[in-house]
Amino acid sequence: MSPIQLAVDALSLGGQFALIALGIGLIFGVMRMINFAHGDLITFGAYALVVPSAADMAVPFVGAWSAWFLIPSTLGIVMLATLAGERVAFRPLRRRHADGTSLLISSFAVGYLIQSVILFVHTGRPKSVSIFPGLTRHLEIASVRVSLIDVVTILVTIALLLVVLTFLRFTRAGLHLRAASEDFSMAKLLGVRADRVIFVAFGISGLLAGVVSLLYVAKTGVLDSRMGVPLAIAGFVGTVIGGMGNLAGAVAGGLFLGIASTLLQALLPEALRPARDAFVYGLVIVILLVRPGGLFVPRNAAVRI
Amino acid sequence: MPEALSTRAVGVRFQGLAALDRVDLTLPRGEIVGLLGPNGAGKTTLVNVLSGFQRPDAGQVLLDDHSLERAGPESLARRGVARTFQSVRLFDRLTVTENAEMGALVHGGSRTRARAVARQAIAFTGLESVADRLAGSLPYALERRVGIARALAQHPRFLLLDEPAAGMHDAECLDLVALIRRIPDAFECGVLLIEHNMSVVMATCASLHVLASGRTLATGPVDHVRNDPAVIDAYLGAA
Repeated sequence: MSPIQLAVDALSLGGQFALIALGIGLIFGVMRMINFAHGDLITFGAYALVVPSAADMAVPFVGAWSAWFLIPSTLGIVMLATLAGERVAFRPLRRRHADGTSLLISSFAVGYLIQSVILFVHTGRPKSVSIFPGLTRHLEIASVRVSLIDVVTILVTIALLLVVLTFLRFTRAGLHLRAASEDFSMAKLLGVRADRVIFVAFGISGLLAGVVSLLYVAKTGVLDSRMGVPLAIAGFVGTVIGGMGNLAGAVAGGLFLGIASTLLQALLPEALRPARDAFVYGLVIVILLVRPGGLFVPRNAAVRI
Repeated sequence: MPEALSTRAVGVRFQGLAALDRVDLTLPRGEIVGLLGPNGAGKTTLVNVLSGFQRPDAGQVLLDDHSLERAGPESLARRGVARTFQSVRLFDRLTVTENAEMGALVHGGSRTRARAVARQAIAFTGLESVADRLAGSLPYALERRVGIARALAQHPRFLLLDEPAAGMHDAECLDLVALIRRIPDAFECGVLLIEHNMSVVMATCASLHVLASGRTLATGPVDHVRNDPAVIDAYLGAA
């Protein structure tokens, strides 16, 4: 495999993981909760593309619409589902001052609920659906073939990260969100409204999940009720190696994980490739042993009390 | 009646022990009052009461003669009572300017307005050269200054400083004294200064309030209080 191909693959996967890690990191920041339902919300968005049915052949639903309707509809559906989850499963617990463990369990429940409903409606058989068929083409760059969807994934990731980072940096809501991610009670003292800042975090997280739904399905064309689970784990690991609660770290952590996966896939001896994830997550353990606070935590942050 | 933040016969008990007992303290707007006392005398508890973090078990907190029954810290912050913390509690991953903006935003308004207010507070506290640094990357003395800048950006009528000189060496203390002395006129606010460092207190405060074991030991102008035998005995003599 040429280095250019490898770089495109690595950045495409890393970008996807970065979007997922940012989605999980935003919610962790304000809630101190790991939202394991994040992956299943990605699944939910993917299934919204087809007509709900138990039939083997998937009939496109949202997926049949033109891109101008398909993209905002899917993003809107996933954002609404994410916000509904917050309203129904997390806010009542928060109001009763439930601890992080209860919230975590609640997020598992939301995730399994989504999976079970999809299993019930669509059956457990994987389905195939094609959106944006034009993107499955290959591009010839300097006599190297790269797939268009990977290039698009990289560009979309960069654009979306810029939008989210601009929002976080330059708007009042963004500043409130970052402040609340560090010290919620101090932020509240300075006038930050808890419900609003959490609403914003879930909204952006849902938007990011929806984008991943589209990118993932456009690339693989496959729907599966458990497809979001490994994605959520990758995103979660990305936030951990980036340093929990550190948004830029989450992005970097997700990117790192995707790049490491792709490189190991390409560079490991053939016989060891099936064990790639063992190497990836072994590396994660080593990183956490050396830097328990995450790769991108400033050194002085650890000693402050 | 002059504008003031005050307590009337305030009492706080922790598991039956009196942390504060019938304390009357008055912080007039435009003055600097020093709050002194040995460790465990109840100084921070009193600041917590004044800023709404601790509800008193007895007595009242008054803001210009209005009783602050059940007012929490957020409400007091909006009504012009700002404080700093012994542990500083900056937002480490926000810049110095953004930290001050968070203070300005306590009264709502746009990011643009908050930025302008923050810039003033930063200029006033002499932090221009580190305005764009992350707060968590600053040395300790500067962090404490950022805490003051954030509180000043709230445009408080009353500012409560909880041991702002802790951990500072002599030159830094002198700078801090000069800064605190300029606050009442520049911001038209009253300053309550909790401080162990006697030279800082003597150089900044016109009047003192001395606590011991949760009770007021002495209160009044500096010269009066520092010569009080009870104060010399309980605190100054030991220092």
